[in-house]
Amino acid sequence: MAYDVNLSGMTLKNAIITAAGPWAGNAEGIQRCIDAGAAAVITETICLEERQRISPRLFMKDQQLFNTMLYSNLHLEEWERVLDRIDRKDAKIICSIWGTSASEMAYLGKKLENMGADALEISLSAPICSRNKLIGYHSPDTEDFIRALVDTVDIPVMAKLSYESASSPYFIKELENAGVSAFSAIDALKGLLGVDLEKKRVLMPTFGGYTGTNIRPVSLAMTAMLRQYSRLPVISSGGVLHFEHVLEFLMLGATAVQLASAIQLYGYDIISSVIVSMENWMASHGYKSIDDIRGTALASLRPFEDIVPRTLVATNSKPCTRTDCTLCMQGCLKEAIMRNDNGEIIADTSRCDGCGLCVERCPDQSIRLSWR
Amino acid sequence: MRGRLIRTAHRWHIRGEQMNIKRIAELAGVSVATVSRVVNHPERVRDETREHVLSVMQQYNFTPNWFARSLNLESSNTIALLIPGIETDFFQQIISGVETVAGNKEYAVLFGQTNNYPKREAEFVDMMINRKVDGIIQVNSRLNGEETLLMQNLELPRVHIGKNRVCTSDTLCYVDIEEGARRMTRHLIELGHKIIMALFDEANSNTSEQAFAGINRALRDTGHTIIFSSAQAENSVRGGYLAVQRLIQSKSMPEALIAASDLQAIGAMKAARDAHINIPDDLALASLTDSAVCSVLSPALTALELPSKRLGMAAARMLIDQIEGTLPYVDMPHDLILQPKLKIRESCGNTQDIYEWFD
Repeated sequence: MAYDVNLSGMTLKNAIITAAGPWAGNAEGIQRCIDAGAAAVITETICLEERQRISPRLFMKDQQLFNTMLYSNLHLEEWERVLDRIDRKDAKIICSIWGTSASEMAYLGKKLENMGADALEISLSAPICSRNKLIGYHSPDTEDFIRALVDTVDIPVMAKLSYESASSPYFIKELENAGVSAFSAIDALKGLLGVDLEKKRVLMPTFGGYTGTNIRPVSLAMTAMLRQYSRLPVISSGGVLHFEHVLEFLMLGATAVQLASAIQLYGYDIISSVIVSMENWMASHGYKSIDDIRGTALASLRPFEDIVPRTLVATNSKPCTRTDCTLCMQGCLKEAIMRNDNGEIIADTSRCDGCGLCVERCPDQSIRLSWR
Repeated sequence: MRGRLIRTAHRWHIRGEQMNIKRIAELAGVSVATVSRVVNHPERVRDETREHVLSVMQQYNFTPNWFARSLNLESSNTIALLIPGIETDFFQQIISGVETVAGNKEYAVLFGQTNNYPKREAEFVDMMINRKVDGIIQVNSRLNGEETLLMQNLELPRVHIGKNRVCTSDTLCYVDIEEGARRMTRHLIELGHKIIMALFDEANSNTSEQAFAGINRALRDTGHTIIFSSAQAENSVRGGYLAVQRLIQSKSMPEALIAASDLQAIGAMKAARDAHINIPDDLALASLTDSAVCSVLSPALTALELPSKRLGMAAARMLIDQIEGTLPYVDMPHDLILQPKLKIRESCGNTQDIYEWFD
């Protein structure tokens, strides 16, 4: 089976790209991504001036991952040697870049093209540092900024979008006008780990990039939204941990999917395991190409206004006798779920107005919604 | 003659169908940088790649000019850096940036301090040519008149750091001081300051002009009536100290003062403190350059961070691009402009932001 993907004229051997990040910050890391089977590797963000790393820079609490990393700590000359040294096999190398002005972006992009980058990704609206607000979000300057790069290089230029920037159809249109070839979405959300109440101090020293499984629903929504706003390819990122997540993004219209914090948390092996399980799933379902599934779930997505109100109510066919769980009762604002005289939990259909939360929460699936 | 060879080296591509490094790279299925390395640093290329690229070059009878150059060993692997002075952080960072990239690319840097004297600068240019440098970086060049003719006839790769194109160099790079000064002035106006004064560096008219243009744009864009004046002062702690003392004695203190540098601003702070003038309550103070001490001062100084090391790195890269012919030249921007960052701290009366904030 061939599950290759065409992205802006590049043939990717599968739909899995490793996102810009420290796992692709030097030759060894990039090589491990390639060897694990990634179709394309996006480098850590390269600038004209290297940036020293801060320590600590990764923060975690309750499976929530935050990072305060932004730019590569390698000089451009070192990147030249990195790009020369790696054995690319059949993988593509996409260089993530950032600069403060149109000419800086154009110069850096052209240098990297000549060093062998197959494509460029602009780290357009990273959530971590303070940047000139005139570029990362909707503004008259953005188009010139990106067009300077697009006009200078002869390789595809992708824009990596934050949730905020991807949310604006006007901004998306502006990026299209500037000539970008594809969108990567979404970048990490801006996040703070929390506050130490006794010390009255934040738990991390600056705003971080909040990534991982919790941001996946946000990213799923943005993939579907971008498909609505634009005809350009979308490369989805945000909380992809399993092959099922990849399939979800593809069914919402993504052209390819980026793995990011999964590599940070579970190592490079997750790349090959996601690729293999995904191809097994595709084969076992008889799909011969990713085109067979791409965007297939979009037809079931409707605007809120078009959803016909139905008069459904919660029913449980037999009363629940559990005493250790009251999730359904706790969440019922209408007090429609209660214990009867025998202490069993029952649903009162006359009080219920059909919100469906008890159905979602019940660990035994013993409640369902039925017509009144 | 050597210079002429180099000059043509990065212009192959404009000669119609002629074979060029880009085409060779395409035919060999490698990057332009790899072809360049096969010629300039063959030891850094894997054996099979080198053999392959050389065979493609042979097949298409392609001998770049710099190939001949590297064979006859005329290259000195030396570049010249002519800079007005080394006292300020801005120039030191430029030197550091140039040195960093030159080191990465195995070039040595010959250094000349011009003290802003055109004659001294011209002598240095002459000296550097005699020492067979491969290229020259000039910082805020003051060459004019007859000295400019010298540069016009010189076909040596060169890059100018600074916005003025006085030395007729093709390639410029500079920090957009005008935009930085505009944002700084806008910040002062937004904080309600109505009488604003700028102290300019008496020895650097070029930078002063750009800052003045930016301040003017901010004054034009605002709907408020602002009284603006300016004065010249030495770019030093002493210069700032004396300037503010003079303002105090002549009872012409502004509400907000923009200093040409953090050194000047520190001098201004001292003069204000001596006269019991509170910053920021009685006087807002901002600096057109930033340094490590600005955030340690009390109050912390609002300042413009100039990416001066990056500026030096960019200049060295653009020069070595020309020397080695590694970039298809016409595709490239000839002017590289870097944006400064306004670091909003406490010295102008900003209380809204919770910490150092950038614009």
